[in-house]
Amino acid sequence: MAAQRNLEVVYARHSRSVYRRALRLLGDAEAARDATQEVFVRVLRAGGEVPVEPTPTAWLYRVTTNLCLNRLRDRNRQEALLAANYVGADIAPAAAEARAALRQLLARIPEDLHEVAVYFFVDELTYDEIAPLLQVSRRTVSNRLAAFRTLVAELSSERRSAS
Amino acid sequence: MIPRPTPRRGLACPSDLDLDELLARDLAEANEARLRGHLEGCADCRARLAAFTAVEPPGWEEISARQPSFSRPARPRRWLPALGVATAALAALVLVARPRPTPGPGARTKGTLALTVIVKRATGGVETLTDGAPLRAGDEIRFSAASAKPGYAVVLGLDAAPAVTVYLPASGATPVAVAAGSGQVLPGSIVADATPGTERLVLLRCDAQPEAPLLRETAARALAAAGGRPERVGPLGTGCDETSVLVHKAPPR
Repeated sequence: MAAQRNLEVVYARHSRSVYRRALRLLGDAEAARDATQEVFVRVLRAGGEVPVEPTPTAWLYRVTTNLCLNRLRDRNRQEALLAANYVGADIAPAAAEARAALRQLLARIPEDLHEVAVYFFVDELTYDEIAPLLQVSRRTVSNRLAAFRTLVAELSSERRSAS
Repeated sequence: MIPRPTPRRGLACPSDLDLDELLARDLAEANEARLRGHLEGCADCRARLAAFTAVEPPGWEEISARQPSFSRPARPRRWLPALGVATAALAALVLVARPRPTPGPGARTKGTLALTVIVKRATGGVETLTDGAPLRAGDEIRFSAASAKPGYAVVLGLDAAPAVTVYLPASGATPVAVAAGSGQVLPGSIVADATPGTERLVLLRCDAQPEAPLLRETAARALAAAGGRPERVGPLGTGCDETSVLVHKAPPR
């Protein structure tokens, strides 16, 4: 009972940011409503409590982000999200053709690099903002983004050689 | 450095996460002050914040209906909704309504908001409760408000469990609007059960449509600060006008 009571309070305070974030990532109101519900199911399982580190909102942000990335079962949609926001040395984001190419490349990149890429390219968070969110060092953030970019560059090079 | 598209926010501007933390009141005082200072001078960020607050998430009622595990099991209540009460206990209760002592900061009560408790006796007859008037289990209570300003009414019960109950608006019901004026009988009623104890009934008048769970949380903090004793609860500090009566339900004589 205490968990449900806590949950209602947490919901009143944070549902707007969770829903808005899900809507931003999923681009579909009904899917965002489902995702919002699922996020708070997880809160309920945790006793209706939200960790205060780094902040409750940041914790929910991350849960929502990972849940939405998982919900984008159609990898094309996940890749489209990143492709629309990514700019690399070799690929200009403006051209639809280039974005399509980038989506193909992103499909070959490990998913665990997608989360940090979303924070950097989609949310425009800085290294210093991403580090506490992921609860890793700034260097780790830098390394993961570098690994992401290196993979994109390598795969882009492979693609050009093949064509 | 990793290149990325032209930023949508300025270098000194807060991130979306910062704005969400501000709205959720997650930030430390110094960070919140710094952020609010930036907002005062940045029209773009004020527009971003306005766009955030314009987003309407699914309501609690919708989400809890879709997810049954979100619903709380019913807890024993000191007051029962008027509908569906099948039995009345025999115990006699005494209800004493008296104005709250001197209002503190945040309680703008005198002359702006008043609460009258109307009782329909189980044995027949309707009267306005006065100090020391006996209230028996089964008596039905309604609330009447007088307000200097229009707004939305909320009635909370703070009991010695300690717990806070939202009596008005009823769960799932639409917000209850009040006009400027007196003698406004609020919708719904509650029926006294036989459980003895003390409870503070608080009437709030809010300018905007209230979020009942947040008000309940605020009231719960005030009740906790008073050691769980309703008679010691000070102003709730909700930002709404408030007034209250203290109800003492004594055991049968």
